[in-house]
Amino acid sequence: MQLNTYRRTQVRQIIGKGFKIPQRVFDTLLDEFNAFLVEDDRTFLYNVHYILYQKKNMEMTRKTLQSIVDTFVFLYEDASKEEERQKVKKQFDLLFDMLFIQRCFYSKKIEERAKTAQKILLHTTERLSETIETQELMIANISHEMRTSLNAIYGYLRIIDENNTLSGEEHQFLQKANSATLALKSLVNDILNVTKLNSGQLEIQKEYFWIDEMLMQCIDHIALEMKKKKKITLLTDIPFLPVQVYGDKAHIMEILVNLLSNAVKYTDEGTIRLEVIFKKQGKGYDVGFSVEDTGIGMTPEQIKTVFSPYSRFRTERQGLGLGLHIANELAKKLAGKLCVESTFGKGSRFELDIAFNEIKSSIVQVKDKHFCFFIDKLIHLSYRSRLEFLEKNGAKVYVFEKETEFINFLLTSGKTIPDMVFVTTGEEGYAKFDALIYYLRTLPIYKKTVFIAENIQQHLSLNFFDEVYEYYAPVTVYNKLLTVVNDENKNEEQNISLLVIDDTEMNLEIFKLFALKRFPNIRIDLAGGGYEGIGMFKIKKYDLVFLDLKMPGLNGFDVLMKLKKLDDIPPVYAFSADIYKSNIEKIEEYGFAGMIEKPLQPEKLFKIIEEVINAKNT
Amino acid sequence: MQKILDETEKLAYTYLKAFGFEENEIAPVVAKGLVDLETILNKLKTVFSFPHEAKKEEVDNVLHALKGLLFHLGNHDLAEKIETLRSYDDMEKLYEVLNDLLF
Repeated sequence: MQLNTYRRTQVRQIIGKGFKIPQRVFDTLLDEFNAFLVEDDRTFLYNVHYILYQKKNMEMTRKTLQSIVDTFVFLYEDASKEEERQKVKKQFDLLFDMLFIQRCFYSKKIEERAKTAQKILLHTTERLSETIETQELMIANISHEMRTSLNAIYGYLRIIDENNTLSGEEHQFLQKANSATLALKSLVNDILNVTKLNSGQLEIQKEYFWIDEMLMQCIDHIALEMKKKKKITLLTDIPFLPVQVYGDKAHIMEILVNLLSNAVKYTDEGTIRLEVIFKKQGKGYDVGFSVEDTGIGMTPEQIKTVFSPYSRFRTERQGLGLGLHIANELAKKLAGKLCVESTFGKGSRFELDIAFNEIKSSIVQVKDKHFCFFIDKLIHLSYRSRLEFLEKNGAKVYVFEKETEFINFLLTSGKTIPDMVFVTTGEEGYAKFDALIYYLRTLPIYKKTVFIAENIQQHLSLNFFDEVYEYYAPVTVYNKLLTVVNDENKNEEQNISLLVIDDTEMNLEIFKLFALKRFPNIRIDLAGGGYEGIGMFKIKKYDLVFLDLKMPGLNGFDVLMKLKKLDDIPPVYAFSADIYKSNIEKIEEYGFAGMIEKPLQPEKLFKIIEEVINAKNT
Repeated sequence: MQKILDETEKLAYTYLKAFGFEENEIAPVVAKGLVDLETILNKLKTVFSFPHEAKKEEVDNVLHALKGLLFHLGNHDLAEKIETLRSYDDMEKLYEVLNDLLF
């Protein structure tokens, strides 16, 4: 079937109903249509395909299809021979097939390919995620193992240091190895924290706590670093909040210690100021903690990246710059906010805002109690607020600035014996008052008085003060100590110090939970490993030790052997879940005082503690 | 693993409450214990990365820690099962049993 002149004219009329097409274009179109009819040339088909699927014009699509159908109807009717009719029909079927059926197949194929691609993508994502998880787990495990090894290295270094066998340059090398180990330990801890944060493993653990007490613990953490920087002073302004707040104390402390530690690190001389502001909000409090220093400060560019991981401004300072990143992520996790202001060359100020929605009112029992303060330094504002607080709560407060008046008061106070005596003075003064307390202790009237040395910013060996504080004793301590003093039995228990050594933190926590339930005033120190335990044992006197037998590094038997080399060791009990005959025999053979099984048997534990208390008090 | 964690959490509260502890006293301890438990279970998976190459001593150390922790968290049945499994010498067989039991 050819498009002769008549047919061309008719087709032009049919198509002309729907479209206004210039003559030249029309001729080309008819030539292409003719080629399709005669030679199966696909050019016409592609053009129609383009109009239908690419132009995306519904009206044009409708008109095109209408014109095609009308043209084929005309050609079919115009065909004089059956052969021609069959050809027209065949080409129409071909056109229809190419335009619609093939299109459907094509779409189906595309759909299948998309599904396959999706499957591949999903599989790849799963593999990638598994790889990331494995890597994170690997990093966490490696870091954990590194921390264990580092603890061992640190323990050995301390043992060498304490033996005093090295001198001169060798001792200096040891000091350097010590500080490098500490830096590495801090780095490994940071990596572990970041891994935990990234994997969402970091748990929020809320508890009721006193803010001033927590802040004093934060200050204790940086005390050593502060001592190395002799030209900086820490100023605190911590008003007293007479309630316990409910929050994640450990993580808040981690943020604040990081801020304080940074302030020390980046300040060579001047001041570091720790301030707290409370604002009542509903049933709770909004608390703003700020740490301000007069250190090197930051440029605006540095401020922009201050919370990014691995930001480090001065290469000569230790660390990778993970600390502030962790602090910021922790603050977010605690629904808090960490902000920074800084001027290059002048210093920085970090502010942490945390809302505590739950509080627990705690009454500080100071009514009718007598508090005596000796402060021969300038009285700090926050200190004054404590004195005011005590007076408001019915306490009788005596403040002395002159040594002679203070001593006269203590020696001649007669019936008004103070319940608590606080001393803030210089190095010589503390030593002098330590001797005075020794004398006062011989007088029956001072049996129940608690003596506290405050603001000791240096290492002093004071033997007769009941408590010694680097800065100021939190007001909550007053309550705690007074309660202890007023309860004769508790006072006895207060004298007992326990050391528990176990590599599983949970075991330590359970031990503490049970022991403190029956004996709330005993002191329990927890050591997470053999070396740590030995280190603690060397610096503090304990009345009782519980020792896990199976620990990485030094096991319980090794630890006991090392403890036995030291003088005057208290009863050491094995703490183990392996109750085999061979184990029990080995325990006896090594000279343990006994054994306490895991899971902890509270009654057995209480009996052991009671025995030690009784032995000590008789 | 999640099943074990959930089951142990419930048992831990029941176990510790039976000693007269308040919920707010034990919540942080239980939370910490569950983190430890998850860590130990992951460590167990790690030591069994290639069960035929797993070292008995290494596996025993992890199972020992796991047993102690489960005891303290009040999941005594599982702790006792773990103790029994410590006698296995065939690490591949042990892995199969642990896999069914824990993971």
